Amino acid sequence: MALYSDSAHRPSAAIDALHSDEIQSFSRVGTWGSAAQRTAVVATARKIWVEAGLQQSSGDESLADSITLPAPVQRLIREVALGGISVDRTFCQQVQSEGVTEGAYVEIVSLVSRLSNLDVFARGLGVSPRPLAAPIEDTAPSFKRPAEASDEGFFTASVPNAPAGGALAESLYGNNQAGNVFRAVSLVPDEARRVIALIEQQYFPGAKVMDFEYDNGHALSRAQVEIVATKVSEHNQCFY
Amino acid sequence: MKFTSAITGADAEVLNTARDAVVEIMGSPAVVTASIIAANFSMLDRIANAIGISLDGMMLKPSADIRELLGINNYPSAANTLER
Repeated sequence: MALYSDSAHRPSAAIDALHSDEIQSFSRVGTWGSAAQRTAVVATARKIWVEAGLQQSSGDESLADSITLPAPVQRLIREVALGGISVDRTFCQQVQSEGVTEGAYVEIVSLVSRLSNLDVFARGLGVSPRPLAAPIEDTAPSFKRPAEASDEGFFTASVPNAPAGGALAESLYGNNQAGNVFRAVSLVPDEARRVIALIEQQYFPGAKVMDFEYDNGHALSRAQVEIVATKVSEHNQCFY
Repeated sequence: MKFTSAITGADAEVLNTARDAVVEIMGSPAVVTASIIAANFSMLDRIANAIGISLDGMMLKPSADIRELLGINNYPSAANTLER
């Protein structure tokens, strides 16, 4: 059954399939977090939104309590869930000094941000947040940090464009010189692949972002799309 | 604009009214597109703010006037670009 079959406003089959896979990804083992930890991270974000009155309960916030997440992880989830507006380099370093590895920091930021994508979309359509799944894998994370990652001036390391980023950069970004947002979470390549797939399906492919005549099948003009984007970014006080 | 503001707000009634207006004026597909773009940027804004990425160099000069006009240079995350 389609993920949004209960909505009066039906997205494309491609969006439906992508979002179905996104929901499943939260409850699978990651690079730095176990399936149980990742599930608890996204359920905690949802709990924060419900407690803040930003969205209705989907009844699965109790998954947040299935394991106890460390205090710095909970602080990070809260900050990102509420927009990441006050996160700065000092906050990032503080969280890491309390035991959150750089890779785990990036993975948590990506998880909460990707859940935000799904929950804001559901809110826009007028349906409840799609149910989270219980952890479905119990294998250990790989804890694999890409050798190509370097300091590009962000709070965390990232995989630079080719040639410096090598074959990994080509597999992530194709032949494009990817913008900073495409490289942001590339310290965890699996998360970067997911974020890039979402951007390309939901907004525009990286190579077409500056092509203002490109048609990605949106029901709004390019100018209208950019107005929506700007309004949301104003809410989140995002300079980027 | 009302619909986009309502998606990021907390008032479900306002959102429902705004959505109905979009359907009436622009049709259901516009609701889907506006929602997917709002969702996409809800994700990207969080990533950009929390990872501290800077604005891509080629965008800095062309966006100078609009950033000044809208007060974007005063956002906390502006430091990730302007103070680098």
